[in-house]
Amino acid sequence: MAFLEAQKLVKEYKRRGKSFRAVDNIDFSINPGEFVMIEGESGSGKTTFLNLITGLTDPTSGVVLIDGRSLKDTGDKEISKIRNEKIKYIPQGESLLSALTVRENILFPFTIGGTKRPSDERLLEVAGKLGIAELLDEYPSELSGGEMRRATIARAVINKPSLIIADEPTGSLDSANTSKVMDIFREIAAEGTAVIVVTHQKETLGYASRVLGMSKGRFASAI
Amino acid sequence: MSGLRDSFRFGIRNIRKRPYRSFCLMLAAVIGSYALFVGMSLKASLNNGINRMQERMGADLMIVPETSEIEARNILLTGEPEFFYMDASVASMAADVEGVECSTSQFYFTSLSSDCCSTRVQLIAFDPDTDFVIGPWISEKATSGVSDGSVIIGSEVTPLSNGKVKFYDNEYSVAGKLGETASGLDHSVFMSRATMHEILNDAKDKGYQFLNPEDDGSFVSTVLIRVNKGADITAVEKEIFKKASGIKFIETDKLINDVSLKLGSVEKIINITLTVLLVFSFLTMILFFSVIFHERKKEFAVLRILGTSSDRICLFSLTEGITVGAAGGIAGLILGILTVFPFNHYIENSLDVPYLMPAAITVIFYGILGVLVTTLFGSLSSFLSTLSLAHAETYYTMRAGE
Repeated sequence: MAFLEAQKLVKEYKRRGKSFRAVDNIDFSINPGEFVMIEGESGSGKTTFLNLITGLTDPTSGVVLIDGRSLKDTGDKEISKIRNEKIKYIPQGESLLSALTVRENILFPFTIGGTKRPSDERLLEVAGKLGIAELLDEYPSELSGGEMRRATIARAVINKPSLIIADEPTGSLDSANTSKVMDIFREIAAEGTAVIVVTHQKETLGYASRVLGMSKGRFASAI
Repeated sequence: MSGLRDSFRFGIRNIRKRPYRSFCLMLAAVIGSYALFVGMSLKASLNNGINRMQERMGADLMIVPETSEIEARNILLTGEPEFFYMDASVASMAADVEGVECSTSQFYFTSLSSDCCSTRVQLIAFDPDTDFVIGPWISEKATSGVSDGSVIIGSEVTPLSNGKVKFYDNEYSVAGKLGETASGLDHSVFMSRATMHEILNDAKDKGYQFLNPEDDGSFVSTVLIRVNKGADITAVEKEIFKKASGIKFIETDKLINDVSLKLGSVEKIINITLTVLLVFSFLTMILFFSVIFHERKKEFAVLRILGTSSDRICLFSLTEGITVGAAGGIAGLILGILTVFPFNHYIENSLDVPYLMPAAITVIFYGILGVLVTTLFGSLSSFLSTLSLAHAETYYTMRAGE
């Protein structure tokens, strides 16, 4: 059974009084262990699609099912719990909390979820793989863009969630660090986590088990 | 794991990470708490003062020399030492007037600033046999009445280290201390006519002549009268006026009313200032929180992405509001205490009306009230500023914050 399923998903916006569909009637599903990459031009609706399937914005029509349950019928506390424990979303840009150190940022979801923290070994393992083990006690303001990005990725992967959704996670990384991140995604997918990555970097598409091209709010093709 | 504890810790981290903004927010709370504590304490002290003064004014009527009404009022209200007198025959004439229940006379003169105490004090000779005004003020600690060669001191008069007071180079033992009256008489020293005679002699030796000491029985500064219940004070005044000239009456009820009127305007100013400062404090906090949270839109969006519920986000910001409000409130209270207590006398002198600090429990209540109000301001303003952000669609909050 698919962990996440989107049925006839539509998101309409209005621009200068005219409505247009950022996401246009999309059907999508992903199974545990699958690594899906979505590629497409800017403005093709990729980010809107990711926000719809994580419940961060409401669809104009259509349904998103997580573990067979519609997000529409799920209350805020429950959706928050799902996002805290099962779905890890890495948005575009920086998303570390400035008041917390890197270590505290990585462990923050456990703090707010009240769930068991991963061991120090696990923290060091993930941080080590991403090359930020030395930076755990630094504040985000002391990190470079690439380091912040890797800390955000560490926060998402540390508890091996059911689904990782990443919006251009390697946009600010060099090729060596991009490979590190992609290796981690592939590794975690092999362990049963479903992974969806939106990217502009065609050279990374080879990591995915399935690649979708997006254009004008639709999946135009399976690449 | 305690959600409240984590919310509190996260809130504190945010406050510490943004010291300048937190300081500005706290400053608004400081102003609110300070205004409330100082304003309420001032109001209570003024009301307390006028009530105590009313309680302690044993006489209904004072007769003073025609030209000395202002000086007599000064003695009662501000404790400004004065010296004036009139012929003592006024006292016996007044005592015989119909409607007068009892009367007593007093004589006012002054000490030197180099004597006991740091400033000049009002010296008041009274007649213990006919007195009905001073006796009731004598505090429980006073064990004996005033005898010749000893004095009774007002509540604000501090004796020398040996427990005595010194006037014109001679020391006098203190027979008792009066309870607080919130009037100028708190700064006065009371004695019998015989003691006054001694002091006048000493003063004369030092070159200060108030009266010829031999004449001290022929003059009084004021005659204090209590009228019979239901008697018409104006009629009593007219009757006395028929027998004596060159005098002026001060009705204590009118004096209290005059002071109350003055107090009313002071209180009005305090109320307006207090309201303005409290509104300013609250609005500033709302404004600051709104601006700060607006700038932190992306942070709120990240919290939502990480699985924080809307309610929990409100709790985070509420914690920041409560912490800032309470910390600022406590700082304002400390500042208020440092203003109200050390400058007590300065405030009293500046306002020129009876002023008496309320009981400690009342002051503590105002302190707690100040801190509670600013804590409420902090929590309300942070909560209101977050409400729309916490419930907005995260996608839009994220984009707006970028």
